Order: sequence, then C-alpha cells, then structure tokens
Amino acid sequence: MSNTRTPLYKVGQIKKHFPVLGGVLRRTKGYVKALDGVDLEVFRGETISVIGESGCGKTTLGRMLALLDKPTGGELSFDFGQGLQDVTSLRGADQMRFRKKVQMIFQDPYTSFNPRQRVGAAMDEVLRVHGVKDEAERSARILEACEMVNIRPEYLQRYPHEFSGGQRQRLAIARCLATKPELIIADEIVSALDVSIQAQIVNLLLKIQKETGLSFIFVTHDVAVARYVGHRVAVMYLGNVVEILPADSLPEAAEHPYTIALLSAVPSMNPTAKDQRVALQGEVPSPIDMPKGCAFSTRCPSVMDICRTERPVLKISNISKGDHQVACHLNKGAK
Amino acid sequence: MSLSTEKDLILDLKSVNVKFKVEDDTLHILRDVSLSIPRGSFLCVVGESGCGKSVTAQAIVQLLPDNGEISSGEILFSQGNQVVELNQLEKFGKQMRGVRGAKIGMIFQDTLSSLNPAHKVGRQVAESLLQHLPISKGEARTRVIELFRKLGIPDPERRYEAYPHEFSGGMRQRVMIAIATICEPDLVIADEPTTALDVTIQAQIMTLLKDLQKSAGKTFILITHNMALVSEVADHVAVMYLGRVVEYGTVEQVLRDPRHPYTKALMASVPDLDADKNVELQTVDGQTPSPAEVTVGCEFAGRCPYVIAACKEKTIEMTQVNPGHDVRCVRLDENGKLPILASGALHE
Amino acid sequence: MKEKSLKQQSTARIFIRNLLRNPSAVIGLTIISLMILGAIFAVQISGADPDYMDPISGRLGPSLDHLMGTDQLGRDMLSRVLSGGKQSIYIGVLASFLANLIGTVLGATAGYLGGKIDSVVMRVSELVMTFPQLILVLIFVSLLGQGINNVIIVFALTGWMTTFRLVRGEFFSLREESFVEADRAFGFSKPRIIFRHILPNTMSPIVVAFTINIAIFIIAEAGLSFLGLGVPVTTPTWGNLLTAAQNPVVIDEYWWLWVFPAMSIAVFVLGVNFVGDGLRDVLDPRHKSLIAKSKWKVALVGRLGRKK
Repeated sequence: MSNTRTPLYKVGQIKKHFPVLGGVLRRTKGYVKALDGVDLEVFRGETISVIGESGCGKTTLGRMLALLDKPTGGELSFDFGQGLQDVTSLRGADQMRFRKKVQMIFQDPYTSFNPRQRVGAAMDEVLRVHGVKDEAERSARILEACEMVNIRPEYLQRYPHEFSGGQRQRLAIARCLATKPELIIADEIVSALDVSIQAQIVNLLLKIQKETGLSFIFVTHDVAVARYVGHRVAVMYLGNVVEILPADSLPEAAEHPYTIALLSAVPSMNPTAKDQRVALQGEVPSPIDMPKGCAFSTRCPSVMDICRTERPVLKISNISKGDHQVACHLNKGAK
Repeated sequence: MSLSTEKDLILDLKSVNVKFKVEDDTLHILRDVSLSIPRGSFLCVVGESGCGKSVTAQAIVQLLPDNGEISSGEILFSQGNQVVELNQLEKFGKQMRGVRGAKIGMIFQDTLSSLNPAHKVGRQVAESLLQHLPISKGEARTRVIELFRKLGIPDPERRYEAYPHEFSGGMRQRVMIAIATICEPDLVIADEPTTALDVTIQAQIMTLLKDLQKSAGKTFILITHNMALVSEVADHVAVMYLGRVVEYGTVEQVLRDPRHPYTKALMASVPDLDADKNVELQTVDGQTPSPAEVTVGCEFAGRCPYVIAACKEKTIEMTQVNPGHDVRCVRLDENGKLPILASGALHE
Repeated sequence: MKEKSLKQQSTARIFIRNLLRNPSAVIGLTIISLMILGAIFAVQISGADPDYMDPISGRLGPSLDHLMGTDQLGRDMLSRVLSGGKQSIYIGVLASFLANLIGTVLGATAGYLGGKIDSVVMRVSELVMTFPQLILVLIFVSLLGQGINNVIIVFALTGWMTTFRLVRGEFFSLREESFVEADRAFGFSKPRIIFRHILPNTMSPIVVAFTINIAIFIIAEAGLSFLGLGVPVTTPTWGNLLTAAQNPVVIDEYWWLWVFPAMSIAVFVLGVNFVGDGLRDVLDPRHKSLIAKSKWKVALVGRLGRKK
C-alpha cells in the first residue's frame, strides 16, 4: 500500500472523551478517554485489522467510523470520489450517501436482526430507505448478495431465530453488500462463533474482497485471525494506535513493546516461537486516570524518562521503514 | 469397580452416557464417554459448541441441569485411598457435597454470575473452606489471604474485603481459582476460564494453573475450544464431537499428528500466528447437527469428506493408532492413517 | 452449502396453535367467550327484556321462570346481569385499549428519546399516579359528566401509567440492541426505528398489560358505579347492579340481587387473568420454535447458558 495514494477513509487525531459526572451538582470530575488521538488511513481494496485488548477503544473507533457516535475532537474524512470530505458534519441526504458507502456488521449474531422481521424483508427495507425505488432491482441486489454469502434465496422468508449464528453473520454481510458499499466495518464479527464457523466467515470475507474490491476494517481481539484477514494490522492500547504494520511481517517485525508483549501472550501451536514470552505485569490502567505521556509507560519493560512526560506520535519505523508506523520513543524514525 | 492403580488414575469415566429430556424428546447428549485421567496430569477437552464438553464436567460433579441424567456408565474418583463411584452418590447428599469443592474444585467461565455480587469476596472464598474443614473464621481468613497472595492478587488484606464488581475480569478469575483450590482438591475442573479474558491476562492465568499443577501436583481438566491454548498447556487432549470422544492422546500426538477427520479439520481451520499466512484456512461444510438428528453411526458422517456407507451403519469403536493415541474412525488403514482423497479436500 | 429445507408456517397460525395448547389460555378463553356470548344474546338466553318491569313479580328469588330472580321492579335478573355484562365488558375493553394506546405512544417516545422528553413525561406520569385516584376520577366525572363514554375516557386518562412504565422500560433495554444500532447505521429515521422496529418487539408485554387492564377497569367501573358515580342506573352494568347492595337489608334477604353481578365480575376477571397468563407464555417468538428440530438448541442454550 503506497502512502502517496489518497486514502478512502482518513481518521485524524480522533478523540472520544466521555465526561464522568460526580457529586450532588453533577460536576464533571474527569473524562473517560476512550479514544485519545487516533490516526488511521484506510485505502481502497484493503483490509485493515484493528486489534487490542479490552478498553483499548477499538469498538468505540469502529462505531465512530460508522457515525454511530460523534467524536469529541479530531477529523473524519471520506473520499466520495472527489477527494476527502469531512463526514462529521453531514446531515440528511448527504449523510445517507455516506451510510450507503460505509456499512457495519456487529458482534452478536443473535441480536443484529430484528427478531420480528423476516430477513428478506429486513434487507428490502434497508434498500428502500436508501432510495432503491424499483422493486425488481431490490430483489436482484438481495439475491446477488445472498449468492455471494451462500444463503439460499428461499431462506429469505425466515425469521432470524431460525438460523444458526454463522448463518446470521452471513446474512448480516449480505444485508450490507446489497447496498453496494465501499467500506465495511466488521466489529468482532466472528468472536461469538465456533472455531470452524469462524473459518467459514473469514474465508468468505476474503472471497468478497477479491470479487468486489471492498475495503474492510476488521476489529478483533484475536491476533491470529487479524493477521490472517488483514493486509495491515493496527494495534491499539488505551485509546491510541501504537503501531501499524503489514500483516505479513507479524510477528517478527513488531517493534512497539506493547505489541511484542501482546504477541508473546498469544498461544501458538509452534513451540519454539514461544521461547521469548514477555510477561506483562499488572493490569491495564483505568482510562479515567490516564498516565501522562505514553499510555503504556506504567507497564512498559523498556520505559525511559521521556516516556512518562511526552506522548509519542505515530512515525514511520526506522527499522523497517516502508509501510510500518510506531508510536514509541524507542523509534527514532523519520517523519 | 476399580481404578487402574498401575497408571495411578485420579478419575476414570467409563462409558458415560447422559440424556436430556427436552419437551417430549430425550436427547442423547453424552455418548459412551470414556476418559482415564492420570494423577497430576493436565487434560484438555476440546470441541465446538454442542460437543458435550461442558456437560462432561457437569456430569462428573453431578451438576447436570434438572432435565439431565447419567443414564449409564461409571465415574470413578480416587479419593485418598478409596475409590468413590461419583454417579452413584446422591446429587445433593452429604458425601457428594463433600467431594464438590473440597476434593474436586471447579472454575467457571462467567465470573460475574458465579460470584455473589452482594457478598465480599473474601467471605465467599472462606465459605468454601469453612464448609469443608473444622477451622475457625480467623484461621480461614488467614488462609484465604495467603492464597490470594500466592495467586498474585495484590494487596490481599484489602482485597479480602472487596466486592466482586470492584475487581477486573482477570482478578475475578483469580478469585474463582482461589475458591476452587482453597480446600486443596486433587482435581480441578476449569470450564473455559479464560474465554472472556484478554490474551495477556489469559497468559497470566494459564501460567498460574500450570504452576499449581507442577508445584502442588494437582490434576487439571481444562475445557476449551482454543486449540492453540491446548498446545501450550495440555499433557493430554480429548477431542469431542456431538457427545462422543473422537480422538484422544498426548498433546504431541493429537495436535501434531491428528488422525480423525474432525480433528484434522479443526486444526486446519484455526489461523496460527506463526503459521504461513498465505495458506488458506480449511473449512468443513455445514454445522454441528442436533443430537436428535444422528442416532446411528458416526456423528461426523454428515460432514466428513471421507465418509463411506460403513460410517453410518453402526457405532464406531476406538482404534489405537499408537500407544496412548486412540481414534474413532473406520477409514483408518492398518497404519492408522486416513486414505488420500481424490479431491484433496483436506490436507493429508 | 448443504442445508435442510424446512416447511414454512406463518407465525399467526403457529401462535394460534400454541395458544390453543396452553391450558391457561384455553380455560380463560372459554370463560370469557361464553360470557361475551351471553352478553350479546342476553335477551334470547334469558327470554326476557332487561327493562321489562313487572312489579307484581318483584323481589322474587331464583326460580325456573327467573333463573336469577327478579329485582324490586320485577325485572328479570338473568337478563339484566347478562346485558350488564355487555356494558361492563365494553367499558373494560375500550378503556384498556385507549389507556394502552396512550401509555404505549408515550412510553415508546420517552423510552427511546430519553433525556428531557423522558424527564417531562415521567414527571407527568408520577403526578397522575400519586394523585389519589378516586379524587382524580371524581374531578373528571364532575367535569365531563357521567355516562359510559365519559367513564371510558376517565379511565384512559388515569390508567395509562403502568403501560407507560412498562413500554418505557422495554424501550430502554431494546434501544441498546444490535439490531437497533444496525438500523441507525443504515440511516433509518427515529419514527421508523421506534414504531416499526422496536415496538413490535414489545408487543408481548403490551398485550398482556392490555388483558390485565381489562380486568382492572371492569373492577374499577364496578366500584365507581356502586358509589353511584359511574354509569347511571338506566343502563345496567355489573357495577351499578351492585348498587342494590348498598342496602343492608338487600344483602341479607335479597342476596340474588347482588351475588350474581358480583360473581359475574369475579368469574370474568378470572377468565381474563387466565388468558393473560396464557398469552404471556406463548407470545415470545422464540418460545415455541418454528422448526421442530432446532428445539433442542433453544432449550439447551437456555439451560446450559449461551456459548461464550
């Protein structure tokens, strides 16, 4: 992925701070900094996996990118075809245009469809709301989408609870595909599924990308799946992106101490690769009480003085150069 | 009734069958499950949802739901010098209650609902101790705090007085481990204890459990669906599908040299961090059927790429392919290997 | 992908089939159907006109001619009780429907939108709820006058709060569900989400509340009319038939004048409660699975807990 192309979706220093109210007068005591200055670029035709543990903000980021939540700071810009445009101020028909292009699939397959609505009707409604007036065209799109996800058309008459979890996720994917989006945000879509079903869904996503050239933002806590699915992997910790690197180069090329620790904690089938396990001490600090400087400074095995006072910024890695960015004072990289 | 003393088994399940009454049907949930667990070993029971791994754990400690029962088979537990047939004990009788918690510890997945939110945590752990041992409250408190310290719960005296919601997920799981081990049981059953936890916390908890195995000689049965985790912690592995054990052996045997088509499919469908990224994940068509759908023959026959007519005719027996490595499949040749498929559906 | 194809049945047919299998519902439906039929065919069944006065035959106990006796003006009690049922049931059903309508619309809007709108409506509901109900009703009755329709309006205006709280609660929890988030992500408008997506999922408690309210309002009407504040005695209702019991002599010596109306109320209310119980059991779309073979999954998942 060359950095000279315009990204499809650009995230610039996105912040999401939730005020914590306290006391009788409900004064703002502090802020939960779910996202604290996230930078990310997603290009056409690529899948970027976003990984991190609980509290890192990856789900908040996903929802923000789907405009389900408004950021408290920073910029979100999307390329509709004429260059990047700010999306947070979009309203009405313009916002609908965005929503057609950027779709989202959710984690829980058991509740992502209205239990009282037949799945075919649900998909039809989405297309109607998005202005596809011709009924024949709606049907055609829905059938095409179902074919791509391997769901038989006669099942469209059924209710969601008649399907298994894996089938429901496939239906959710079809529902998104019918609107012909350019970007799909997948928020932990395989986490609630059995291992072999995960493989089915994951392979399906890869196939869809090959056939349609869609971009995906794949949010997950499963590092191995993230590496398998994505072209690039973005690692988040406490509301920041700490490293972005090509999936191919994982795990060897990881530089950020958190990424290294995270990777070493992932169980692996390969016994020799487990020799250098970095045992992270303690727990993730509370996002209300964020440390000054680098968020990881309280647990980092390589912490230096500067880490405690100055927040590191994502810069191109000095070691691998290329398409690899790290936010760490250990990286004395070029801008 | 006996436990093989030559192998020093702590638990021996012999042809255990469990049936559930659901509305008008009776579902055959566990099918002839036999597991011989040597003392001090770490067994992982793996499988996907519906395979019966959790039900196996419940059956051992007789915590099956009201509509379930052990219809046949024996569960022999070596308690001290005696052998107790657990399934013959009254479910909530004194003897069974004496086993549960004190001789067999249990760790569950969902810590939020397994701990009483209205009671302080220390008390809940101490309760387990006081139920089974004739010691004073003060003595119990001391032991609990000591165990908290050993399990890596920081500031144990203060944490003793805390409530469950004041802990993080990882810390709560340590509390669960404390409850499970405070009476120093010889056998600990853990049902997906780290599934809801972050990977770094999972690593901490697993290290803890392995330590307990090594230092205190405890036997562990870990129920999980995470194959990579199994490869790191298990001594033995039992793979289950629709209520039946389809493959059993040491972790080396089952994970590095899987012989059963289902095991092979499972291994090939899990992405591994250190594996070649460009190898496509193998999948198996369809999903696990319901127990009512398969009553004769191999449970996996409906989805197996190696299926032939003989697979569906009668119950398949276990074949030993190597010492200690058993596989339940009729398609194995005299070397215990599967034939090569014309379509090459699964890697050999 | 090999998947079994299964016969599709409409939810309505399955719902009715399940309802008819539920003992509570069947008992309740039988009771109230019989009573409603009795109310409609009051004249035919009793063979007498409820208003026909025959003072000579006044105050006669139950006999073959008059199965429930006669009142002081010689009117046939059976006929009056049956046609009284017509009015009482009408009041109960319509008042319940209106109260539920108000409560549902307010609850849906407040529950979904939250914030200031919710606070305002909550305060209004609390005000109405804490105001002594009898006094409130008296105020309205004195403003609007007596009569069946006014009684219905009064009940609707003072009885919407429980449904409101119920629906509001449901909306609070449902609005966090994934499918609502998905609807928002698809750009659905708020009214569409509220009324076409979330509301159908709250029908179960609303229907149950509707049936329970019928019972409540019938009893309320009885109380009101007994005090002479509800429906005037010219149109018999179960309630105002009970005004006879204001006289202690009647209670002692002419028991048939009040026992039969009272029993009718009790039996009908019982029937309604049975139906409400049955409906509650049956209304969850996940309750009786539409596919026989996946019954096990639903039951097992429920028993053993969801995977992960």
